[in-house]
Amino acid sequence: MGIIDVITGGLSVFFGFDSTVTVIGLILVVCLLVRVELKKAILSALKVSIGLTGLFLVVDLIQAAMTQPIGNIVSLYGLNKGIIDIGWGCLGYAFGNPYGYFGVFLFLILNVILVSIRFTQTLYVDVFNTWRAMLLGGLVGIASGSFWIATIAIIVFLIIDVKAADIAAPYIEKINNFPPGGSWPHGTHFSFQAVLAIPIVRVLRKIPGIKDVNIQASSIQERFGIFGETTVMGAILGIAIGLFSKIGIMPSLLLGVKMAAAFLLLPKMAAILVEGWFPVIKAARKILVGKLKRDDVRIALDCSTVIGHSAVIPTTLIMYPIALLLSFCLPGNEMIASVSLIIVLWESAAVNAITEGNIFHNIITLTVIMCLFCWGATLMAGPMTQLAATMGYDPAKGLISAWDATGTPGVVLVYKLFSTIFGF
Amino acid sequence: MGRRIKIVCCCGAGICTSNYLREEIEERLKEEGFKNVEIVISKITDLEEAIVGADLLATTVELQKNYGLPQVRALGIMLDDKAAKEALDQVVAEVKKLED
Repeated sequence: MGIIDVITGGLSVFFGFDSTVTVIGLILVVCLLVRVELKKAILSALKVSIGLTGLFLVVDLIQAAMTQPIGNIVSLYGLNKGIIDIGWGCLGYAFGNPYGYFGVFLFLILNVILVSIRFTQTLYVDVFNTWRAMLLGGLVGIASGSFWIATIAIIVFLIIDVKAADIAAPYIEKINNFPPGGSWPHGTHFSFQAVLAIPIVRVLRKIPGIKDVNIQASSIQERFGIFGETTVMGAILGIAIGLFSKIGIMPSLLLGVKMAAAFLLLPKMAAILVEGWFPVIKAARKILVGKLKRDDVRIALDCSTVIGHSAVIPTTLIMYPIALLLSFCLPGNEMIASVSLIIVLWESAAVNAITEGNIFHNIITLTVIMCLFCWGATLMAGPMTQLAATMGYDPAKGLISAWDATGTPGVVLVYKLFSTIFGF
Repeated sequence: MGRRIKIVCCCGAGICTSNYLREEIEERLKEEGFKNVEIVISKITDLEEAIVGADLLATTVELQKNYGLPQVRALGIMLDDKAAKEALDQVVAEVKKLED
């Protein structure tokens, strides 16, 4: 085992530096490996670390803004809602920890073999969306202290991810009249929830009364309406939380502005990160797709390609307040959802594929699934804060967590599986 | 090479897929010799503002609505190389039409 210790030792020294620095080195190496010219490699490496820095900035913005309101809510109402929702801020902790990269790299190779022996049809070329596996790697790696347990956890997680994608793909293709050949694993952020919805919808279709209600959104344009605008939603949410926690009129308005900023900035920072990853994504794609000639291979795609069905937007608009209220009233949930609410759009699209556009069934199924996200985020707040602490977050400032990735059912399932087996 | 052409690439979150379209379309238009092209990315919910002053909309999401400008469902770019080439040819054809 000498060699292994040397590698892991070297890796941890290399990753010992601040994550925004180590990522530059890593992206540079990976870019040059896939024959990207030096100028573009440097630009990409810088963009990734800028994206990371931006994400951590927004996390600090939210954390600072939400400390007092959350404190008041706990003291005034005795509601135990102490966990701060950092939403896609956890993306930074996924890319910044050293445990994730190797496991994902191994899986990408294993995936080609699994597809060629027809174990799965889904071929992961969408490298960026494996970041949820990287986060799981970080969570397991820090908690278990073992590089190899983290790597195995990532591989098990991504195998579950592609198998769920195989099951859900036909439903998704049908409802979006999508050309054949697509698959939407997205790190158990999409197809996994669609698979969860299958049994629920089957039950709904048997309950007298509920089964005949079928509300279809026949003709609806893409007009989201002012409330659909995420920044407006962020402002309203911030002001509502401010007033509810009695921090005063002006501070509530200020919280509204800060929350609207977080709603807008998080995706923008993530977009910068993605831009930095592009040379790697494109190269991985060309290498991987070139390998397989079979026609029944499904190429893993970002699930933003399948949210166009007309029932998705109304479902999302109805689910935003429901999901927020859920995070307030659900027993056992200790995180008020704010920036995490964004993901309701994608979960609606996933469930919609199974209910075939029935908004009424979408709402019921989604309410059940969002409970899983709430409990997941609460369960994983400890490990998430522990992981963030290794990358400059001061745990004394409070527990942090999120729905997308930290509380995602697939991530929680595999984490709990490994923590029981290996006892951490 | 004619006036400035603005293309909007749209997807669900305006983070990953639309970014991908921009990269591929930018590269292909450079090969075709179009220099004066500005490509912006947009989320589906922010489409109303993003298409102001735009000449072409490349989307991965199936849009039922017509936004009063030529629209290309550039989904093929995300799939295999053959589908990508078809989608990019369509974009180039639209841009050529705008040129003259």
